[in-house]
Amino acid sequence: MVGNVMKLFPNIIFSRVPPAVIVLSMGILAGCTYFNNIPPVTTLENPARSRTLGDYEVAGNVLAVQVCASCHGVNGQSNSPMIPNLAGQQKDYLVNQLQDYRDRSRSNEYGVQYMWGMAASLTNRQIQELAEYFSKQAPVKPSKSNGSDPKLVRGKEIFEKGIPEQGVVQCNSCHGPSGEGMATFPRVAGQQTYYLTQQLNLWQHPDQKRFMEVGGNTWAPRTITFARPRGVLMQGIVKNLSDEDAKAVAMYLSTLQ
Amino acid sequence: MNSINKLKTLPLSLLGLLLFFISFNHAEALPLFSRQTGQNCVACHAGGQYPELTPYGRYFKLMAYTLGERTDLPISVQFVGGAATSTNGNNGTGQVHQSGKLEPNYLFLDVGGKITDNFGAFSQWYYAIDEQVSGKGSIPNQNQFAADIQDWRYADHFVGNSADTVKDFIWGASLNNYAGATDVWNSSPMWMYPYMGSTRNYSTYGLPYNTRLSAYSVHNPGYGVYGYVNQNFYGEVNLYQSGGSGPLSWMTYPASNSNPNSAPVYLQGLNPYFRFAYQSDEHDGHNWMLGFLGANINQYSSCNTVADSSSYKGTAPTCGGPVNSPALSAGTVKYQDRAIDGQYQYLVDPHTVTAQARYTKENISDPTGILYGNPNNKTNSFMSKVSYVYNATYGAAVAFQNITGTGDGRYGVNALTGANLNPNSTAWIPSIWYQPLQNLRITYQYTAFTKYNGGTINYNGLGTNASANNASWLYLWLAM
Repeated sequence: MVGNVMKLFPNIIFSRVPPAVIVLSMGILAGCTYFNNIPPVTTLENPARSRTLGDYEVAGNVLAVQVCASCHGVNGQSNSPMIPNLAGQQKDYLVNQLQDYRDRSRSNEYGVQYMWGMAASLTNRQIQELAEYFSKQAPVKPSKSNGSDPKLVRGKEIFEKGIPEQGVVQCNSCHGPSGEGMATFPRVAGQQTYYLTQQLNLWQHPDQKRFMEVGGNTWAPRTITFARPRGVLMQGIVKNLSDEDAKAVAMYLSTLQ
Repeated sequence: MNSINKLKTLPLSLLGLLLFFISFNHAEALPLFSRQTGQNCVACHAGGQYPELTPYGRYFKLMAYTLGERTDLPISVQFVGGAATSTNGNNGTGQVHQSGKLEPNYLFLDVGGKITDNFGAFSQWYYAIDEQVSGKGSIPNQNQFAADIQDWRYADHFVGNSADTVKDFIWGASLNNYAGATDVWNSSPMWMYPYMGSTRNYSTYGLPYNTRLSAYSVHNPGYGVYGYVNQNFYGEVNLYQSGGSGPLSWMTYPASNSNPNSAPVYLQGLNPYFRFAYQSDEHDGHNWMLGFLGANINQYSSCNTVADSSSYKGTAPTCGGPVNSPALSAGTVKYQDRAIDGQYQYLVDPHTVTAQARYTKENISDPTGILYGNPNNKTNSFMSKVSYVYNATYGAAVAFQNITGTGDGRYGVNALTGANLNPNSTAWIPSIWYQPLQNLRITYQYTAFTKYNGGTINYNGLGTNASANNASWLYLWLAM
């Protein structure tokens, strides 16, 4: 009897439990496969004016006016110095940046705080449509500026000639003769001075870090090293640019159309 | 934030709180809206000083909290706790000798956010933590789960061309439970500094009277519509009604006809609240707003208390008839409030400068003497605040509040002369705070009265000076 009882246990352990585990895991796998292949259920009652992110059915141009326009303006012209104008921006550049925000590789401070969440669930098609929408908007008409301001004169000089002795290459060699940009090189003409200064500052001091919450996750604050990997070319160019010159060139760019 | 509490043993509460938070860890319990948009708090809150809104935050609220991705777990929790001083004046909660005691004050539960394409909610509930009372008095609603601010709304947003007259139009409808809960400017009665006060000491809230338009402290269901044109012109009308029973009574939970600690406030018919405002475009980081708002509220007396600050003093409710029954034949107290308000903001990192002000005239008609001795009373109040935040981390603010009005027995009687007191009071409320993370704020807040009930020295004939009502409060505000 004792032997029989002892014999029962191995049977249970080695012959009954494994099938149960296998059946269960197969069931879960089958369930997951099934549910993963159901097309996402839409909650949209208002697809032409939806503010919904994470739904492939909302067209990029709807997102542009309903979501992005809240900060960047319906014409891609922002009202805040911290928020870049997108009007007339290069389409390829916009596509790249939205992808970089989506995969969290572009990590300047405001990018982390504002854009990671916005771009997190954009589809490739939505990114194309958004880039298309904003690249087609008429560029900002800058307000009239005093051309004799020594800062603007200095900015113009750097834009057109660079500072060869400091290794600063002239901006117009990549950003176009009037700063309108070229494919993946962004339009810088008419951009917000504050925003340009921030970005230049990022490349001047590439190892800035901050302990912060990201992507709406208040549970896991972490140290973010600010970076713009696609703009790494800029690091060498502005490495020796002084803060004053960075500001001068940003001011000058904001006056271009 | 309008809540009445008590406290428990701190270690136990903190342990419970910790367990509560840990239990949510795997479910990623995050502040609701931040999770929905994936953006940090500073996107919607000016310099991170919640609940103050940025232009984008106002937009988010007016679009019915629907921007973003609906979350699987639409829940947030907030905790407020700290140490307040007691006062020797008459603005305490009837609790003495507990200055500087570290205690939890509030636990909030927030649910809602995006529900459908056009429908969303801000639904805040609180648990009033049991406070230990020594000395006299009892505080109603201790250990009670209750409905705080509710704002359930539907909104649609039309965007036109730059050539159109109406380039941008939001319209919406709201079901809410405080007049002004729907507002998006922080000069409005429900959302003005100081944003938090201690239940241990009501001086931390500022003026003893009319800190919101007094009738606005009435907690009742209302519904209304609003429109926002070109991000400049705003208009809103709401109607408020009694909520003690019927399908909307959850909005005033736990006030009920059978809860002796929490009487429903009975309003006569539908009571209008309106709000109009002009919001400037943003320019170089500056924006400003100028507005006009008001309400007419007719309130029955009930067999229990009528919502007023005297309940803060811990007087036990007295009742001749059935508990909480409305006195429908005894007439009403009629409040008529008219206010102008304004706000200024400068928002360019690392600097955040914001300022708000509101001037309110209130006429109170009480011909049958329900609350007041005089058939007609008036108050004029001025509330203001300016604040500066550096890098969304270090902040300082100061408020100036002043109220004047007719003398009435309701404000008390001078013990020496027997003359009625008046509401005339002046308060300064400076504060400083440190916000190491966007969801964690440590604040020290001080309230200094230079005038109280019409006087600075011995205002009540009992030798009490205005400064005896001064209060300080060091507290922590955590949102998850």
